[in-house]
Amino acid sequence: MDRFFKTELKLPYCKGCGHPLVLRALAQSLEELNIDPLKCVIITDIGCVGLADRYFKTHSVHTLHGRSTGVAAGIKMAENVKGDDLKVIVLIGDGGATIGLLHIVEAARMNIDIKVLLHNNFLYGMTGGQHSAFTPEKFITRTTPEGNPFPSLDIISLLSSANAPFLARCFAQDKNLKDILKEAISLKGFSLIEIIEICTGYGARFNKIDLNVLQEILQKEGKKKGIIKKEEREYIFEKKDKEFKEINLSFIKKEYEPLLKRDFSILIAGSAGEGVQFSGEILAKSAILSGFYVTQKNDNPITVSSGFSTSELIFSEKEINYTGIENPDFVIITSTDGYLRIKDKLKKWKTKIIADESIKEIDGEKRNFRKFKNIRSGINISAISFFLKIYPFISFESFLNSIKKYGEELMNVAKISYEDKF
Amino acid sequence: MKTFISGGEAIGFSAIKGGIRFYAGYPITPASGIYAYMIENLPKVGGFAVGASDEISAISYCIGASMRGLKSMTATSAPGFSLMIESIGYALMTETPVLIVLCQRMGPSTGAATSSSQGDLLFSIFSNSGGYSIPVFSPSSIKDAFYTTVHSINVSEILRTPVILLTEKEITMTYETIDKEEIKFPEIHERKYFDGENFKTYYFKELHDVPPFSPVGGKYRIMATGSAHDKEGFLKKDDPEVIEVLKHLNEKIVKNIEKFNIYEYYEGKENLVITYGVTSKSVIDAYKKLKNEVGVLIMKLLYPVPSIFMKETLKKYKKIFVVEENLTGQYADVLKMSGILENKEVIKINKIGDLISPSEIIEVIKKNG
Repeated sequence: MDRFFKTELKLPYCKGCGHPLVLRALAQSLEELNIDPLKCVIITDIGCVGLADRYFKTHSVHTLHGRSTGVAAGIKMAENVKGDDLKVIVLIGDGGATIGLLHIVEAARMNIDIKVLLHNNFLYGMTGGQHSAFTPEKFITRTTPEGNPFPSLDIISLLSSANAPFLARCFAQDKNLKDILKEAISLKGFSLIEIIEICTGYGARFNKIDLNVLQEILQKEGKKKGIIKKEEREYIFEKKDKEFKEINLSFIKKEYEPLLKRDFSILIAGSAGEGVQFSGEILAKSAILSGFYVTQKNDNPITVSSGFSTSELIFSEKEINYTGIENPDFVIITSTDGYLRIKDKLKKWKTKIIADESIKEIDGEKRNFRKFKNIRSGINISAISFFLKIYPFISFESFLNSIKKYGEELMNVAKISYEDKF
Repeated sequence: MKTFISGGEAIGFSAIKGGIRFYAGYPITPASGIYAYMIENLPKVGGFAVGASDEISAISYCIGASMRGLKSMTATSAPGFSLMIESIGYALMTETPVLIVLCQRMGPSTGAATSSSQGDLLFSIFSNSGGYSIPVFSPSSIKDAFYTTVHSINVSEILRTPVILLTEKEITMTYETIDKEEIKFPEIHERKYFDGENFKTYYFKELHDVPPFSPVGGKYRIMATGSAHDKEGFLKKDDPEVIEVLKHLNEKIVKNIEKFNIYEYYEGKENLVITYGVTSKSVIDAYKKLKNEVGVLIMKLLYPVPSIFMKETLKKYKKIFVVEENLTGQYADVLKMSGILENKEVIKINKIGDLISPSEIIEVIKKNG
């Protein structure tokens, strides 16, 4: 035990508290498993049991209340990159497990190889004996003076449903505690051991409690002792054996000469899911092929595929700083959703309008772009191709070049529209 | 050769270049693009990116991974940052490097997710209890995000502290063309590792010194704690060494920050315009239109204020205009508070709801010139 535990130091716990029993059993099991103390980390948080880390000769990380499991998970996940293997042991109380419950559920669900020792003494001891989510029904605490009106949380069945591979429950006094810990520590994967304890400071002050009463409480709650679940589960948090490479940005080379040298802006307004932003991007990339600087700003409602969608584009020969558009030079409206989105602003702007012929409320160059609605992004590619006929600032060829990889059908839409053969 | 890239992608790309090998994220506009980028790209270089169940888990994972020695990062906006604050203080206390990208959107609470703003400057500066601050950097454009992101990671690693990279929806979600030759990175720095005898988790000699790092699981026994502690990492309170550690946590940042200052400065005649973040772009346009009449100082290190540099730079100017997209002119107030403005007249140019345009800036400057 001395390899793991500073036996010379006096533990700070109340007389009769179960924590020292658990800590010694843990130190013994680590020793018997012949683990290197520097390949082991004890992670604690706030609460009486959280004072335990300094008594261990392993690495120790003392965290915020309830966050021990979260930090432990991060420590373990790092092995995906580092490739080594630490024994990561979390000591948490029922208070910490209440505030940090989701960390525990997630660690179980993801099967992160950490060992959580949940010291459940039915209350928050360090802060004065308040009830937690683990307080049994009718149990008296500082904050449930009439007895806890709520049933306690069954962490074992909760984590079982989260597919935890190893789950056990026992008393701090149980002789098999060390063996259970050894089994949990040896298993590759998430393990939680709920250790039922008596808080002699508060639990015993407010309630008549001994090991027999603990047994009765468990019975009443339908909670069993021993190893409740042990099964193999796939473990994914290991360093992958494969080759890695640097990542690079993709660059567009100037391949065409621009046909017009002018700075201008476009607003495309249409319906979400109809390729407004995609078509804007294609136009942007085509302009970059002709040496332009471009900015693109998109907007759509939170529900990505319904309502409006807009794309604002600025084209310039020089680098663009301010990306706001006070008055777009061109507005391309491809649906009623788009029109409704911008109609108030449209009244103020001096702008050339290109619109689908279904939008009766406005004047402008109108065509039947929506006839391509059955082709993915057809409507907006059509409108932009037509725009390039009216305002040929880049060669149509460069635009076709950018959509080539999206298929023949879309290229045909572009050609028909550019030639105004609707 | 040009690339067409969003600010979120530029930050993600630079972060990987800067050595980030662990990312934990949770979806939130306008930071989701960074999350998706890291999930897609980090595994390619042998890093690890994971989705967390909330922002508390995300930052907790990052802290754990950083304690193992991985450069770690997360990105969020104000609602998620609110949840992270407790753990950011923990990272500060345990001297754990981590980069937190805070993508600003408009308003308190959930606010307007897809509207840009620069309203979270004070929030990021004063997000720690006990009167402590951590470095806050802000890229002035997508182009600058390449450099400033890596620089922020460097500072986080060198000073062993969480660092906030403050940016805006307008940067992270806008796509822009960037010339290949304009993409620049600083030299990449690693945290200093301990090698020797008599290791103490938080050992320093002078208050502003940074303790050499050793990872959890390494050959030196680590005792990390978020509670008041001595240099060894023992939880204590009534001990002069504990007070020393608490002073060190402040001095380490305040006394060293000046050498990590990054900015762009264009000299002017009598008056100076100070700005940061996306608003810098409007200021540059205004500066060009005003034919260099005013000086422009674009700050990328926002906090702690590098006061030696600031006092020296501001010396020659009479009036100071501070341009920023928020309700009350937060950076102007920070500069006032830091005592660098002395008796200079300060004119705030600020609003919310939309980018401040070059013409709006010019109007105020002309009226007050």
